[in-house]
Amino acid sequence: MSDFEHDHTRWLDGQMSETERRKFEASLDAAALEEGVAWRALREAMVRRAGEIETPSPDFFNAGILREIEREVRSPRAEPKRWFSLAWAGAGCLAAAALLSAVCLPGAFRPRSEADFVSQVVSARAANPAISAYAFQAPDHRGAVIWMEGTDYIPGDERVR
Amino acid sequence: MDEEEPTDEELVRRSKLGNTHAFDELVTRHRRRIFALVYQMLGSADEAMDVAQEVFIRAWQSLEGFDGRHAFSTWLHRIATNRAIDICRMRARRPQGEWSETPDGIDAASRTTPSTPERPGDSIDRAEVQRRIDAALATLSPDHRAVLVLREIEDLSYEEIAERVGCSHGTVMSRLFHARRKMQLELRDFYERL
Repeated sequence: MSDFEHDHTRWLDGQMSETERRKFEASLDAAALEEGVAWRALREAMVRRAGEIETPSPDFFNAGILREIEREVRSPRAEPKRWFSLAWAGAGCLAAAALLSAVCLPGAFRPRSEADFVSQVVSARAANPAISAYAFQAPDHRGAVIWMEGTDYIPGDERVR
Repeated sequence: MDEEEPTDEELVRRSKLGNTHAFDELVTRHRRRIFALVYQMLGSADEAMDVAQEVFIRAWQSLEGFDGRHAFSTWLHRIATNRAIDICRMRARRPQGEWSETPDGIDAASRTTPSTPERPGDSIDRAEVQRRIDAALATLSPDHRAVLVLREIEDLSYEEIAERVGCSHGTVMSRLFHARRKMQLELRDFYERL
């Protein structure tokens, strides 16, 4: 912002001391001085204009506000106190969940022994004599293979126990 | 029986107790000024209507926080100014590429005195003055218009404007300077005859 802009603004707003004003006005030509007078007239017109602005449809204006605030009165917003209670309840739940996790999860994720992964076939007997069943242990692969002969497929609803 | 009009303070007290009729009376008392302020800052009657209503609804919602240290009208005025400025800012964030801090084509030292001599007997119709002032205000950027309205019409100090608009004292003065220049240019054909 230039010094001229700063001084001009203060001049129009009557913010200068008498000495400053005289000095500033001496630096202006007649046209610029006229401008100052004209601006003051324009300012008065603007203030007058602002005073003449009316609210359109004032009844409608009030009714809209009233409708909204009465709706709020009928369904009051949650009070801050209630929000605090909810916040405390939430925090309590979180703390309880954290505690449960600390107690239970280490058990759930404890290192499992090799026995947990070894499958053992106890019996390889087939009820249908046309079907033969063989079991092979594969301890290196922690599992067992059941080989069945005499059937093309095992139905989806057949339980292999 | 001639019943005395309740003061704003009394109406606020009743409103705080949930009396919507008391608040309705406050709306009636202050709606014209609030609407005029918002209208001049936003430049659109439809938008001003919505925003002015919103101002009163916000005031109702915040009544508990009104401590009565200032007049109700001052408090309400502040809510309205802040809301209008928020809207101006939202508009300014929209890419319009139309306005800048220093309007193009206006030399800071330019003279805006009418080039055509005043004709004797020229008189300006009041409605015409209103129309021209509104149209000239509408040509200003939202920032310039807000500062000009707050200074010229609401008579706020530079410091108060800076605080409300959220800019420096120097920026307020610069915006005022350019807003006035723009208004003078827009109204150059007739403003000396006002």
